[in-house]
Formats: sequence, C-alpha cells, structure tokens
Amino acid sequence: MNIRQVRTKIKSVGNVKKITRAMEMVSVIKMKKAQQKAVETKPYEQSLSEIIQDISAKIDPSFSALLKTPEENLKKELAIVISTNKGLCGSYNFNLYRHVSKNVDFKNNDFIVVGKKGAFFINKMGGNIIADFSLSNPLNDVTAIFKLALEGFLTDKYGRVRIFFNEYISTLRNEPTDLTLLPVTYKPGEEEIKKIKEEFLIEPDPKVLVDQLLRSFVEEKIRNCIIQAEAGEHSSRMIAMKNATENAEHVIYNLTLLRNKIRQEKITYELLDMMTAKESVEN
Amino acid sequence: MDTLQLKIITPKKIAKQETVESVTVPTVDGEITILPHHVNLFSLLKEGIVKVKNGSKEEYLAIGGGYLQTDGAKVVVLVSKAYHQDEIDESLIEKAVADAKKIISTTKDESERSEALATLRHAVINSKLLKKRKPKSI
Repeated sequence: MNIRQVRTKIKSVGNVKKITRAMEMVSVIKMKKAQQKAVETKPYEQSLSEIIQDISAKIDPSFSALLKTPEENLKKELAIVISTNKGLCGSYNFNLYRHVSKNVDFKNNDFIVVGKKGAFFINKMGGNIIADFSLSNPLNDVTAIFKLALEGFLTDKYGRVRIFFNEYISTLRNEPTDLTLLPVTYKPGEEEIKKIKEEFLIEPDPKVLVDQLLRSFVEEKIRNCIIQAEAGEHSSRMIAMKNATENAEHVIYNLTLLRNKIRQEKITYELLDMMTAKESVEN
Repeated sequence: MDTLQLKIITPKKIAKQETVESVTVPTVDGEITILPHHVNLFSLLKEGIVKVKNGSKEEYLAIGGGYLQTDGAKVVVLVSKAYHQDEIDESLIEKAVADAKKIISTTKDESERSEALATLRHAVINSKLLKKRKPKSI
C-alpha cells in the first residue's frame, strides 16, 4: 500500500465512524422511548392478569372458546414471529432465527410475520406465511394480528398459537422466547386459591365477561411482546453501533501508524539517495 | 370515614391513582356507585363518564370500554382510554360531531358508518362530561 491509498482509507473509515456514531445516538433515543412505553404499559397488563387470577376459580373451560383444549389430531400450529425491519443490530435477529428453527416444525406451521428480516428468513426455510405486518407500525396492527390468530384457532385450523420474540431483559441482554397465546393458560398459586374461595360477584354474566376478558388479555399480551421486541431491537442496535464505532477507532489508529511508517520510510530513502549521490559526485 | 383506593389504568398510563370516598361507573347493566366495603365485584364497563367523589370535591372522567374490579378496599378500573375534563377541547368535539354526522348521512360503506357512529358516541360522552363542569368555588 502506498501512502496515498492509506490516506484515503483513513478518511473513509473516519466517515464510517461518523455514521455508526450517529446511528448509535439515534438508537439511544429510540431505545429510551421504547423502554418508557414498556414501563407505561406494564400496570395495565399486570392488573389484567391479576384480575384473571382473582376470578380464575370461577372460570370454567366451557365459558370461553379461548380455553378449549385442541383435539389430539390437530397438528397444525400458528407461529407469530416478531423480528425487525432493518438490519445492523448485531445478533438480534439471528438468535431469534435459531430459536424459531429449533422449536418450530416448518411443515406443520403457518406464520404471521412482523418485520421484514423475519419474513425473509421464514421464506428461505420454506415456511408458509399467511400474513406479513412489516410495513406499518406494528402497534397499530395488534388487533388485526389478534383477530387473524383467533379466527384460525376458533375454526379449528390451528391447535395452538405461539408468539416468538426477543424478550427484553436488560440493555445488554435479549432472550429469544416463545409464549403460547392460545389456548389461554393460567396457573393460580396455592395461596391465591384460598383467597379466591371468597364470594366474587361477576356482572353481568360470567360467560360473556370471561370471554371478553381473555380476549383483551391475549391482545394485550401480543402488544406487550411487540413493545418488548422493539425495545430490544433498539438496544441491541445501539450496542452493535457502539462496537462498530470502537472498531473504527481501532482501525484508524492502526492505519495512522502505517501511514507514519510509510512516510518515514520515504524520507529515509530520500536521504539515502542524497547521500549516495553526493558520495558518487565527490569520488 | 372509610375510603377506597382508586386506580384507573389505561394501556398507555395510569390515569388516576388516589384515595376517594365513592366512584360511580357506567356498567353494561346500568350505572353503579361503589362505596367502601362493597362486595367483591367484577364487572364490564361501557363507554361513559366516571364520577369520582372525594369529600365535597367531585371529578369526572370520560372512559372507553373496559373492566372494573373491586374488593371493598380498592377499586381497579381497566379501560381503553380515560380523559380528564381539562383534556377535552369543545371546538374539536363539535367538529368531530359534524364530521361524523356527515359521514353517516352520505356513506354506504358499513364499516365506515359504524366507525362514524363510534366517533359520534364518543363525542356525545365528551360533551356531556364538559357540561358537568365542577361548580366553581365562590
């Protein structure tokens, strides 16, 4: 490499560094927003599941179609896969892919995808995508996703509906997870069972109410998963970009060393040339 | 005097959290008022106005549909949305009503029509809420 090439390279790596740093900043802000959202929606989801626990003694599987156990021979399942629209977020999507391919039988599953990256992956694996919600803001589509899944479940098309997403644990950690959305399962603890034994008045009609309640519970769960996935996406992109920026700094450091070395070499050669020329003239 | 721990929660935020004396909510079967030591109750709410009473102070909130749970000491109201009186703009409501009425009279599409009806219903609740201005302290 000559000195001119090294100089151009340093400049271009410097530009890359600028871009990755800018992306890091953007991701920090987006992550904070998504985290805020995740925190704000938490009380709603929590009280909803608390209520379900409280009245679970009164819930009879016959009340709601959402609680039915699917028939044995119904092997077909539906998987909702939440990935990202954009790349450059480290191993975020790949971890999810690995989890999906480990836990899903592609022949017996239909897919609903949120996020372009996931859609590509499922396509490549030969999965059957029945709906793709990548284009708009996924939070506006929660109801549509839910309706689609519910319809498939109620018409006995699918025996089980699962959702795959990256659970947001901390800024540094995401865990690919799957949750079974339908049929709804709940496990009241020992103490709670005692508590529930007390009289509980349910108006107007437990049947109508439980069905509605479970519906909004599942819908809220989907929404929560999407919000968590979003927070995870931004945080892992932030980390990926931070690493890229640091890498670029490292590369620039090495290239600068190389540049100086080449320059010094050139000077030494010039000096040598002058010396030999001078000596040959004198002789 | 006994009090109730009231919590009004929407998917976006906790709209209200305070100690009150009574809460009046619109359920699907009609309006009910919850006082301290109410029997354990779980009920379905419809769009309407929630009245919160605390001493001589009365407060009103417009809510979307949702659920109510109480055990006599605390009241949890889970709703799709909740607005305070101050958060509603009268001119916006009038505009929404006019728009919705126009859509209802002109459109043939069923889904558009039901959407407009929902907007109208919502607007009516909001304007009702506005009329219930808290009595100004003299």
